[in-house]
Amino acid sequence: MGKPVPWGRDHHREFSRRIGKQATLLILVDDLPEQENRVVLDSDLTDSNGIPAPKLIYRYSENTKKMLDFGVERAVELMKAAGAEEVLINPRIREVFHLIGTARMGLNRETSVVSQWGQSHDISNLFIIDGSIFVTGGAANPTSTIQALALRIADHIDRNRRNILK
Amino acid sequence: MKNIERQQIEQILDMIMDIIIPAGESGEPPASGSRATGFLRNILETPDDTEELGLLLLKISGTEHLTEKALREVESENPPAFARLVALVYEAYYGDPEIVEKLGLPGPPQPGGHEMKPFDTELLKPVLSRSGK
Ligand SMILES: Cc1cc2nc3c(=O)[nH]c(=O)nc-3n(C[C@H](O)[C@H](O)[C@H](O)COP(=O)(O)OP(=O)(O)OC[C@H]3O[C@@H](n4cnc5c(N)ncnc54)[C@H](O)[C@@H]3O)c2cc1C
Repeated sequence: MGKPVPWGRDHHREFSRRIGKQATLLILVDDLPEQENRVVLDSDLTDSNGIPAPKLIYRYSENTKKMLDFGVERAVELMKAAGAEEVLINPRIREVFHLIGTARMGLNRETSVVSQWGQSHDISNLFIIDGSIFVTGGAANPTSTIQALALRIADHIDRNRRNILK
Repeated sequence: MKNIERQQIEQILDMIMDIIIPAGESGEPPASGSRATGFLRNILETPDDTEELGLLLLKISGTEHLTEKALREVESENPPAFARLVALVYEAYYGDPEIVEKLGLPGPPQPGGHEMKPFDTELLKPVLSRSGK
């Protein structure tokens, strides 16, 4: 990423100009779920037991691209305001995946798998409490939110156990 | 690297490294005195994906007067392979603790670790209260 320090005669001069005076900003955005972005079973690839492999179908939406561009523009502003002499932009969009959202929560059983309490719409004594119940990717890493959901839903089950397990 | 003798490899490596990172005007040591030579030689002796690098060195070893200009010509013929060589020299040079010390750079935080404030156990109170502790 960025611009390598040149080799040769100017190496040390350029190195000391830069060392300790660089900062990197990474833009993270909430890549919203799209109907066409999905996981399907691969029609050809199988594992050693003949079970089809999962296949990821994914492309960046216009919305995601715009959000990334917006973030980059703000980052450049921020760097310049901080007195940056040179701002390098890495144009490559880098994929960072978290496996979430395959049993999303919601009030509508047609478009979601569990309720806002992680309770399956179809099987009342089944609760799902993990990354799969996320509705969007969120703009950052998911574990703290998964843990918060676990605490919240566990409390809910505890409070309502008589009704739930009836 | 079959066609070049080990000793010859080290000589060439030293020469290349000193062109890539020469001694600096403010007393910065050149790359050849560092651990970089051994590091690069070890890499060249590992069989995986070093063929291109080996070919590059073979090409450089055939250069009559090894100067910065000559190296820049070799670079222009295969920029990705040359960039890899440069990255390895940088990694070896700046990964050598003696060099880091001589350059007066702050060393890596490990194994000592960053200095941290004592943990604020108040933060755990809501969590502990859930289990009745
Ligand atoms: C390399 C890597 C780095 C990451 N770094 C971060 C980070 O820095 N910060 C962050 O917030 N998140 C990070 N994540 C993401 C985070 O780890 C996951 O999103 C999170 O752990 C998911 O939690 P989960 O409970 O949904 O699923 P998991 O933690 O995957 O739990 C699922 C559990 O179900 C078990 N299981 C599966 N099938 C069955 C079965 N049939 N029967 C019984 N048990 C089964 C599995 O063994 C597993 O224990 C990282 C993920 C990876 C892979």
